[in-house]
Amino acid sequence: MNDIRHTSVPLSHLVKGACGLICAVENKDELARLQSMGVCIGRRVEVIKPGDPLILRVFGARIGLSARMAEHVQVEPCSKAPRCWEVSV
Amino acid sequence: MSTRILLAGNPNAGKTTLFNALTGLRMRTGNFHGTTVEWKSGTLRLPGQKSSSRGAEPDAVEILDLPGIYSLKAATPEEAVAAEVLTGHNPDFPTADAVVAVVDASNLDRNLFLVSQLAECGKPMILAVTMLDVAREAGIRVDLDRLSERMNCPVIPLNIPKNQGVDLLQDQICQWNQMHFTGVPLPYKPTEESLCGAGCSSCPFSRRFTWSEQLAAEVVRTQHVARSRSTDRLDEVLTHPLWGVLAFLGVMTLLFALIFAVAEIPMALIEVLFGWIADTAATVLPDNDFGSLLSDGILTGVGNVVVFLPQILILFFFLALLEDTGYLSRAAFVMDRLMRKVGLPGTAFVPMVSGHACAIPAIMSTRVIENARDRLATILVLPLMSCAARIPVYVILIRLLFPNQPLLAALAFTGAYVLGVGAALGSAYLLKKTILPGESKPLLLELPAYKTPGIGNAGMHAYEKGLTFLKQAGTIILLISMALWALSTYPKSEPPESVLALRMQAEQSDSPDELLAAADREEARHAIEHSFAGRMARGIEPVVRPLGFDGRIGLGILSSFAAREVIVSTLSIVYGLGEEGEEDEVLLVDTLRQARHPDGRPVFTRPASWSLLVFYVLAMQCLPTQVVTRSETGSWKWPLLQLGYMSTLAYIASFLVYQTLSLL
Ligand SMILES: Nc1nc2c(ncn2[C@@H]2O[C@H](COP(=O)(O)OP(=O)(O)OP(=O)(O)O)[C@@H](O)[C@H]2O)c(=O)[nH]1
Ligand SMILES: [Mg+2]
Repeated sequence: MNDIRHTSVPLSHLVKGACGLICAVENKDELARLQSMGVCIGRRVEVIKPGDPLILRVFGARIGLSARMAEHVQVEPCSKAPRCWEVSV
Repeated sequence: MSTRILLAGNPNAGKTTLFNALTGLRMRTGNFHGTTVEWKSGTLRLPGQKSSSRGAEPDAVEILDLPGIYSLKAATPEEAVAAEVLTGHNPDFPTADAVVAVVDASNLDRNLFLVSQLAECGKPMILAVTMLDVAREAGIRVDLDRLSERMNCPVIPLNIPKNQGVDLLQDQICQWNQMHFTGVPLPYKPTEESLCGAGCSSCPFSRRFTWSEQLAAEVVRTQHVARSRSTDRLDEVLTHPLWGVLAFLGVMTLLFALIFAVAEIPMALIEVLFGWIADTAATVLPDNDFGSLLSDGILTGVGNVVVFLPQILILFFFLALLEDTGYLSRAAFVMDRLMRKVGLPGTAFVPMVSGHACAIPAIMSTRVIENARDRLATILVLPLMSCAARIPVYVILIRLLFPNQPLLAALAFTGAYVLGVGAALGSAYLLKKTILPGESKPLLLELPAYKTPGIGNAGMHAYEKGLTFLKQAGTIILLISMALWALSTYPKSEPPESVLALRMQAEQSDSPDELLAAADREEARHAIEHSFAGRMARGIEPVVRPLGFDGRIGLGILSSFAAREVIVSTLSIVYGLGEEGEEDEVLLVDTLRQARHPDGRPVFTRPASWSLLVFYVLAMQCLPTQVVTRSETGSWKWPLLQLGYMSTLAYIASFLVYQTLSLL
């Protein structure tokens, strides 16, 4: 747990085109809403457009997300795959 | 015992398209009890059955179109309601026999995630797979047989825009009770439902994601990696902080101009038609109270209801088209940061723009706003937008102010609009700071791929909205129109001496028409000034005097309580031009300019005209809007608050304008 946190950054810090593996969602109020859209621990996301609000690709869909919310999502930067939002099986 | 089938699936999966194909026009709509979530229910169009047969035959199959959801875990009111219906806990729809899960083939991973939850509800399930054409274009092929095998339920491929697969699905639905439903094999126990908190990589939520991805990977044959680059490229512009906002303003201006220009034709037709019917009725009906009630009370009332329909239909038709293209979510995306500054979400902007045509459809379109508080704040401030009904009033007053200065007149016009928008944004800010506190929900929405919109769906959507308006607001607006008619008609008064004198003169004259018309105008003026409304106006004169108004303007304000534009015809009557006076703007403006107080001072001085203009920008003055506010918020409390704060705002602003300008 601790070493994950070590390398993790808020989702809002990723640059355009970067991918991340979600390791914590600290946004308790919006947790359910985020989860049902696929922003959940263990998912991969790709930042299509950074900024506020930012655009993500997660679970095969484009999602617009306010930076305020993205600040509370911790991700571990990971390498880009053709469909990187998909966890390899 | 009739059968009920539920349509469930992700937003934009194609449920409503399927619903329309299955039921056609045989449908009802309403809100789930205690929510603003809409349901649509219809009867299945069975082969060989006449489409005219409505209602609940014993073997009828009812189809219920549920709102689009991402998950059954209630994060939004839509999800809460859908989960209730699917688990049999909803008071409106306590039972259901089977579920048609509508699945978008172009994003099976996420759609199957919801399906995994639907399967847990334990109802017989049919998978209806849509968007196969879109998937094919993206290089995705779906092995439907394999999917059916793995899900242990029938899988029907659909392409409704091409009318493929609907018959097959219909047959399958009719055989729902012959399906040997043994349940979908899921790799986890449905009961171990727990929150996916930190560090629970094996929680059911997460395992469902994994399950759906594995299943999708198994049934999908991807030929080449294709991602919608065109959508990404369009988004570069349309979600850009500057270009995106400009594009949005352009699109909205276009939409607004369309509503304005297109709705004018049917609205004028409706006015002419109802005018003609009322005139004809007046000649046929007896010349007594009953006849007057029918032609002036009821017919005018019906006209007052119907005249809103063109704007409602046109706005919702174009909004549905825009939504279908995928653009509306981009609009919400780019406007979000700006709208947050006054405490509203980006989705509030479309209703705010639509409010400039008419507040009624605008209020009806606030349903796109997710959060209840945000929606309420938006509804409360929408009537401050300068709607089309204010234009005739603005025209008259601005002509009075700037008779031969078109530039200044245009500036004043713009100023009136800006004042309305500013007051609305300011009020929204204050409302969010006081009685509706709390942060608005941070933005989180899907940005679907762009596509060409479906005209048929948009038409159905507009039709539904029209019906909703007639059903929820029509009767009350009609009743109010009749009450107002009574107020300005009763008590009857004897024609005054001057009228009798004019009529006597007419009898002896060679050209009596002129004199008779003058007598009629004088009688109309006398009648309205001695009616209840006229008496009330005299009662409020001391109240409006500090704003620079006399009793006649007070009467105009009172009579236009139901609809602002009525003040023009009332002023025309009370200043002796008769009802037709409103058609001749130049004459009316001249007459108003000549109007004098009993002591000889002019009535429409500069300060008084400005004051009246500001009053009409800010005052509520539209009962139909209030009725719709009530039906959209579910309580009379909110329209009363709307009336209260807008009237106060208008009064104070007019007072300040009049007093300040009078000092200069
Ligand atoms: N290409 C294609 N388009 C489809 C198909 N089925 C539906 N559509 C289109 O998809 C869009 C969305 O369909 P809707 O029926 O409104 O989706 P919905 O599931 O009711 O969406 P919500 O009410 O938001 O949950 C419409 O423009 C349809 O014309 C299909 O099989 N192929
Ligand atoms: Mg729908």
